[in-house]
Amino acid sequence: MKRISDLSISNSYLNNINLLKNQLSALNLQISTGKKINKPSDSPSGTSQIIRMNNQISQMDTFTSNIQNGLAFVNETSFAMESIQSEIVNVLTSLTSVQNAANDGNLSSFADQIDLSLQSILNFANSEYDGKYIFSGTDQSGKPYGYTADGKSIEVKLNDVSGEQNIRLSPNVLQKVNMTGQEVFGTIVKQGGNIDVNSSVGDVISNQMNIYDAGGNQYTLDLNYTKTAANTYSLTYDILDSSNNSIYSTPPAAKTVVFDSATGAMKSLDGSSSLSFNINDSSKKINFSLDLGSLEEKNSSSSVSLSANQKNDIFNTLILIRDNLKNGIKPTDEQVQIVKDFSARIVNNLSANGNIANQLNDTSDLITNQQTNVEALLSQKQDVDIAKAVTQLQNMNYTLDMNYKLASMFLPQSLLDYL
Amino acid sequence: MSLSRIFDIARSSLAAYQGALDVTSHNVANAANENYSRQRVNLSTTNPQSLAGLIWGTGVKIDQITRARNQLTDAQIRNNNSTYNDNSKRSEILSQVESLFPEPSDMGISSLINSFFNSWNELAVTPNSSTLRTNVVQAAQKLSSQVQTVYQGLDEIKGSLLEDAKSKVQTLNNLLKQVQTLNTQISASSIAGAENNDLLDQRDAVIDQLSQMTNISVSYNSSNAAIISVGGVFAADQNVSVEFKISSSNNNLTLTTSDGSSVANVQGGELYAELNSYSTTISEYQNNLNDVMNTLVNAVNSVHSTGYTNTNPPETGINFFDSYQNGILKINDKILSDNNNIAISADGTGGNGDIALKIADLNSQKLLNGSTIADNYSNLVSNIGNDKVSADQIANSTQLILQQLQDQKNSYSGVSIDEEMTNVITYQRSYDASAKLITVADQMLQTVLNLVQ
Repeated sequence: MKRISDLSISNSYLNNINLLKNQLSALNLQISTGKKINKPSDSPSGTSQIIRMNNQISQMDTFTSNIQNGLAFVNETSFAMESIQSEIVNVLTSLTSVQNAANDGNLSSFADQIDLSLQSILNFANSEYDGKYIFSGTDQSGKPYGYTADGKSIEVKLNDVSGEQNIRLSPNVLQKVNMTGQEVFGTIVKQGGNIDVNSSVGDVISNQMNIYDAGGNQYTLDLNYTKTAANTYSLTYDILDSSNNSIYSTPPAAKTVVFDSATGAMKSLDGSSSLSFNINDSSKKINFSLDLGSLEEKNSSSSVSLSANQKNDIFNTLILIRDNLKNGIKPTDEQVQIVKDFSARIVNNLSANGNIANQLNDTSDLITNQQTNVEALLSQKQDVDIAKAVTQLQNMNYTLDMNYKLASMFLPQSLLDYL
Repeated sequence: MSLSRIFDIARSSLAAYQGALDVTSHNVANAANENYSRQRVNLSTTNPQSLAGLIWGTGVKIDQITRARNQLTDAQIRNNNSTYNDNSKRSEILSQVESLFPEPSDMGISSLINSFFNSWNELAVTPNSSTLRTNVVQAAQKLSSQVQTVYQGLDEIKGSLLEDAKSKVQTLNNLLKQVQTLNTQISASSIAGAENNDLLDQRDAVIDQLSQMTNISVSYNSSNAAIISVGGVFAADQNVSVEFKISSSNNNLTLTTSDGSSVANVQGGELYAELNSYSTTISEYQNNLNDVMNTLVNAVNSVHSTGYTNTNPPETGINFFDSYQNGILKINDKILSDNNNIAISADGTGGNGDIALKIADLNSQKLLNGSTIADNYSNLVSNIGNDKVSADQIANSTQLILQQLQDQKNSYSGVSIDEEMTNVITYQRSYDASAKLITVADQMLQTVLNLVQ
């Protein structure tokens, strides 16, 4: 039979009490913090998961905040474009009215109405939100549009108003949130068609079209693609005046165009995935974007074509109409058509902007759902079931009380008490 | 046969039971002494006498006072002491390390890394916003400050481990000296033919203390001197005790003899926990943190240097971070003095935030060990937690074994008051009886004397 020494009894009692107190302390911490995991060793893998979920939630907070900011910007853009559209409707009403012979004597007052609309459109073109010009692309160095020094025409005051402002909506999704000045007011010349993939190195594919300066003067855009290697071309361009002379004293630098050998789609322009570039000559008041995104390399004879979204910009068309009306000259059908085209373009841009807003709202809803799910998982992982924990605590307290009671009853006793 | 023999027998009996009561009282006095082994009186008969053709007993004597001790249990306790104290100390050290990493919480490095990358994401929405640029700098400063706090905290723990290890080695040397002294005293007692039980208990207690500090092996020579070796290096016998010291080389601590001639292979005890934590565990944590931060700094700088500042004219080729070394993360002074030097524009225009987006993207890119920066840091935290759990589990399981072994030891060597009081009654009754015998013998002698009158 095992001997039981006095030290055995007291050590065993102390060990049991200590164990209970450790468990009580851990439970107490959980209840007071409301969390099951308070330090990495409480659950190393759980800690890792909680860190990851907290990071996810924090990232989603940022995306949500980005979306709210983006939405505010998009709404301001819509407001500006709706206001412009409203002015354009006024202009179109005036243009219809001036066709009525009964108004021939009032052409000057129509000129004033159009001038008022022009000033409003110019103001809206220079609208700001949160310190940013809405239609200036990414160049925020000043107002994007303004009168030329001679006050006779309106020009783009910045080098480039085609920059896209992107925000991140999720780890893998970028969303453009601005309508660029180029998209709303600018001229975009689009290169279409295809180049024969079987053409030889040194072969040149040429392409020309008429373009116009701010004053409505005609020029010729001359594009040449020279094959330099398989799927690679050197693009040179020139702008010729009515006398067939180049407007450039030195020719612009050539650009390298590379097509995807598998799909035939254009892969890069000067090493960049952005497939358009701005051509701007402030002295001639020529400013347009050349969009090469539709050009392909195909296994068929080369066939290329150029098209522009407008002959002249809305500002200078309205200036021309206003000045002509002041001089008693009614607007031409072509000028009225430019205004109508611009109106249609604004409607399209409003629609595109609305799509951006919808995309942002949808993504916001999606993120909110995801966040709710992750927060539920996080709660499951880290939050204490208080009712269960308190019950356990009471149970342990009871056991501890029992231990104390037993210890007080039996520990002091020995044979000495009976001698 | 004379009556005086009865007196002699009674006298030896009185002496023997008085001695037995003496030993019992020594046991009772040490009932609460953990290092004490209960002692037992071995009684035996004195040499008999042959008289008148008969063999007559001559009484009782104390043959030996032995101590109840089981050397097998002692050896097991020492082995487990070494493992328990290694892991218990390791758990204590890791608790301190763990407290430096306030995870999972908003104050942890993981949250700050995430906030840092989120601040770039927010800046991309309004690239020319001075407030958002300041947010990026502040997020970087908070991260820098927390990384420095953690890294320096780890350095401070290492510093205190080194000091503690040095102090422990002094204690180790003192204990070895005590073993040598006790060996000498015990050997001297053994030569005189008697076991000095209390000295043996003292030596066992000192050896137990040694086993808590490091892995030792114990053997005994013919003089009953304990021969101690520490990590395979001879440390003490009855003639000498070796002095040890902590040697440091290349951020690595070792236990060597004071002349540096031998290196102890320390594999257990608190000293092992401290040396190993200093040389390996904490250094690895610091290296992992350095890897995370170096990856973050290099990745951010490589993207940031391709961007353009918001200055006039815009500049490029500027790093966001100046350097990172051993917990010190420095942000480029140019950026600290003017946040327009944060280069997030891909084309030099003030409204372009493409570079900020690229930097924010780094948070989800697998840049280190096939995982993201945040996941690598999270793994580091998880490793610390696992190391602590592992140390706790081994310490707890070894503690249970130790408790059982201590229980066995107490069962064998511990004092039971009930048992001792029973012995007291037994010896007291024997003592009373012996005294009564003297009274009876005296009465017998008186009777004989009365016959003469």
